[in-house]
Amino acid sequence: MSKSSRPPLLRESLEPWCAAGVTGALRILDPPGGVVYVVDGRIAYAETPVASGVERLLTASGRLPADAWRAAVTAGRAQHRIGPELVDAGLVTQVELEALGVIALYDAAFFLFDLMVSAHFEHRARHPVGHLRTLDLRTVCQEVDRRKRLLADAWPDAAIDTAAVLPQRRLRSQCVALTALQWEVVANADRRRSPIDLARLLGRDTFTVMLEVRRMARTGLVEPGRPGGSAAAESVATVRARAAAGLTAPPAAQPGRHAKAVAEPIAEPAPDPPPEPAGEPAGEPPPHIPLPRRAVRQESARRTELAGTPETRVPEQILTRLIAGLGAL
Amino acid sequence: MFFRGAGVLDIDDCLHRLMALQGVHGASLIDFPSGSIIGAAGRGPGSRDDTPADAVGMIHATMQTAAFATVGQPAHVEDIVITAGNGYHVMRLLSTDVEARMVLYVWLDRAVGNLVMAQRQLSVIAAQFSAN
Repeated sequence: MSKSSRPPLLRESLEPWCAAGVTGALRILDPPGGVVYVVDGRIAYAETPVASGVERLLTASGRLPADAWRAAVTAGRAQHRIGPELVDAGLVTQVELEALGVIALYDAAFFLFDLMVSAHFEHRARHPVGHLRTLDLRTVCQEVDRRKRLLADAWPDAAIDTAAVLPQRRLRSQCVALTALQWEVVANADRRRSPIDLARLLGRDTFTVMLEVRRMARTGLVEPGRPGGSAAAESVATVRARAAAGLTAPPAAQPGRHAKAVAEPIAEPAPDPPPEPAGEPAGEPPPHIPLPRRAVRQESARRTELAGTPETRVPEQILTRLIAGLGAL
Repeated sequence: MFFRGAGVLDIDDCLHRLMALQGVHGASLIDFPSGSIIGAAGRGPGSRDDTPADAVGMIHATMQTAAFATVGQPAHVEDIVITAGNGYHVMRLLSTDVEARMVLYVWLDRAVGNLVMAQRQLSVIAAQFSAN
């Protein structure tokens, strides 16, 4: 781990554990909360309340009755084999389940990997669904970066993800072509739900809904309304506002809590014998995992600071935080 | 830890079966709305060497157009074949339920590959995705 002034991102915290080839779970203690499961040094699953997990993808989408899911949970939770229970019962196919696992993993990783949060590694912890398909940490990082690029290219302002989706009441064009998912978004937008709420409602992965909404905003079919009032939307907005504040603030102003807490997963004595990853980062150059986007983003944040534009940014952040605070009350 | 009962196919098994076809350069499973590669084998999207880099983009563009084609039965496209200089690109749409709209993608050599065989094998594997 580099001795930089800022605490490491979650993806950097994962590096030593993956390099050591351990099995366990990195639990995120700060909001929005979440867990990244590692099996033999590969990413097996990730979940966070703001993204759609396998359960939501299966049940909220109508693919599986909620009762069937609950039955599988009852039968397989203790042995970490909820997934196999579903497959054995013929409710879903193995390929389907594996694919949903990857989709859910990417969805959660998108929200979690670039957070500066405190996290705690639990050795041997496993996800109750059972581990399906594991991915290289680098593959997941690349996918997260690709998704961030796609979103930024479609519509640059991230505030749209947590704002109510307002479909245009009138269109100037003669006809409109929508994908099936865009149709679902428009049909279920009640002028209060944000893209994040719609994803939860539809049982779709959050990233895809955010992307489709941004694409529709670009073509003028929808516009962002007031910030969404749901807990999930607020949670995302708060975390993003805090991250933006953390990046633009001078390093000295970093809250000490973060610096202390993030060091935890490294410094903590492992309760089990598995390889002690504490020595590794110092001993050899571990980052065979390129993280090009982070440096660029940080630089751009710094540039805006130097350019003296924070007047335009800061009120927005304060506003978002105020709204989130009011919502919490 | 890994449950792999007899007869239960997982994603890697599906991809290996596709790779066993004659003249296949690469095969992958793609989540089409997000463009994420769920699994990949051989060359093609997802592998590092010799990538037709925007195969995912190509699929996306094709699907956007194909979805609105109203030839015959509208709104039901089984597969899409693109004949290109570097081979055949076959995209088989999976008619799983609502939750994930996935595409099986195979890149075939033009000289050695057998397009019809590939399409048949894709249909067989696509059947693995729908519940028994």
